[in-house]
Amino acid sequence: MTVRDRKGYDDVAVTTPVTVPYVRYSSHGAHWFAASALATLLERSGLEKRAVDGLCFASFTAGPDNAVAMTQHLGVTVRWLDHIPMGGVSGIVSLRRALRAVQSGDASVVACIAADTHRPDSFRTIVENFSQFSRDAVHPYGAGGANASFALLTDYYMRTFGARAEDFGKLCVAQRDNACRFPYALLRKPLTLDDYLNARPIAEPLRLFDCVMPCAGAEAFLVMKRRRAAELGLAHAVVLGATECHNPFPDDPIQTRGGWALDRDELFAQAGISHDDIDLVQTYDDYPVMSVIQLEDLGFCAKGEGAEFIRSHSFTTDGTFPLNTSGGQLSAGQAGAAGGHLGLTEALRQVTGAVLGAGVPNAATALVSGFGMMIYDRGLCSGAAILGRAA
Amino acid sequence: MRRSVMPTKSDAMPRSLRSPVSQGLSSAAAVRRFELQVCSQCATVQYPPREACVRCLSTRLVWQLQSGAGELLSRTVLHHSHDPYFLARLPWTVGLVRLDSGPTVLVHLPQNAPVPPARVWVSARLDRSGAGVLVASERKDGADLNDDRRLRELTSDPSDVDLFTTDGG
Repeated sequence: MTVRDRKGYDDVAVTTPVTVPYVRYSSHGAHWFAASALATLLERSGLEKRAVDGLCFASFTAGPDNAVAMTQHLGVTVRWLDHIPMGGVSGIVSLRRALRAVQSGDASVVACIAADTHRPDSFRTIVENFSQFSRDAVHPYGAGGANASFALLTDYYMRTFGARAEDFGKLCVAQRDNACRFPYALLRKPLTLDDYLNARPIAEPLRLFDCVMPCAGAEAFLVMKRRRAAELGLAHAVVLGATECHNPFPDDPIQTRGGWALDRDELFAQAGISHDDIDLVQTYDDYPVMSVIQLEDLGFCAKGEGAEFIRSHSFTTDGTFPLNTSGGQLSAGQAGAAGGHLGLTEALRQVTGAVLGAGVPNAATALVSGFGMMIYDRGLCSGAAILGRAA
Repeated sequence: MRRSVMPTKSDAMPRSLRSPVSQGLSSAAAVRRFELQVCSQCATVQYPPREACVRCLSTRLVWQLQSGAGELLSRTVLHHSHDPYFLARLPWTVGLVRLDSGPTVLVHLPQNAPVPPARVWVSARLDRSGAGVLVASERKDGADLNDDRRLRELTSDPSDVDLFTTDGG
């Protein structure tokens, strides 16, 4: 794909990463988590509520409410508003929207918030209302959730490229190690490879620890001009490059790649850096196979060589390839659309030196990847952003 | 074992949320035909059902009989389900088949399904909610599907049911 001449984001800052601590179940609504996120953004930034004139909102469980209703719930008056119903890529997409809004002057401070609750019945509601294709062609086949769909992709990937359960297990074990030092991770009991391999099957070849644990929580950050962030004394990062792609390879019989394969050259060209300059990576790890596919498509190794890449690297914060440094969704939990923001907030903490868990030494540049929305047989949305420490 | 026709709780399938446009699949399945939407303008075969052709956007779509021939790309055995019907019948096997005519379809598989990649034939049946579902067999005549108790039950195969007949008088 030709590299387009896209304007950079040099004058815009990303700041104030907020995680509203996750809980397994909550009787509160998604709005409670959204309000907590906004309150924390204001407290940490020192901004008054009226200074926030843009809102980007993502949630699976706020329904029937959307971003419009959220302005009245939260009592904010904004002149720029967006709702991003894109699950695992919502963080990257919110970031991209907010960057341009601030850059163009349509908004001066955008709060990007993803908030979801989790009740015993909420998962079923999400599944039932996910897509027309899933109602017609997925639900009648028994799974009632994403596990079966990703099991089929994992099965194909393993057969085609020779990946083994131990390879996926190594990622899960390393992420748990990272989670053990991250205060908000829900799963912080140390995990061994034996634990992983001996866990009960969910949808073969997926075992228990291949699957994220749904939970409640929120993630949020602010986007504003760098000058404003400096005036407020806020540690911030800049976005060196960012891409998104939807429905990238419709003629592939089964998913082994995502839009990153189309966009990675543009991403790195816009950022003006190479893979060696990346200090840490946050993939969208709803299932380990997707982390592997992202690492391949983003160019850290060739297609099909993901398993070998795993065998030759270590993925803890002090490893040769720090990955999902807060434990990722596999160990932190998947708080709905917040799962599509967790990599961004964690990367922001790492490159601004404001880590909550273990820091990657001298981390200055982070790549964050998003993936989402398995409407029928494949995830349609992909995106990625490279964050750099503000000079 | 012969089973009663009296419905039990675990026989109940969830309320079908199928779209109106998917009705063609069920109508054909009712007479054991596997039909998919084919575009009258560009002959693209598509699945899942849509309101327009995915390639040329023509809305002139007709349901046409399919051979069902394809390749089983992958399979999974479910040990968990959120759906009470399937939860009561685990483990359950499903797979992805790339039809020779183009689309990839999610299918029910018999428990002795072949290991992918394998040639299979896809056919359509009505499930217990009365809607069409796709099943795949490694035999063109689908005879092995009739050996699978779970699939017979799912597709309400009459060979499992004791029928009462009266003279109606």
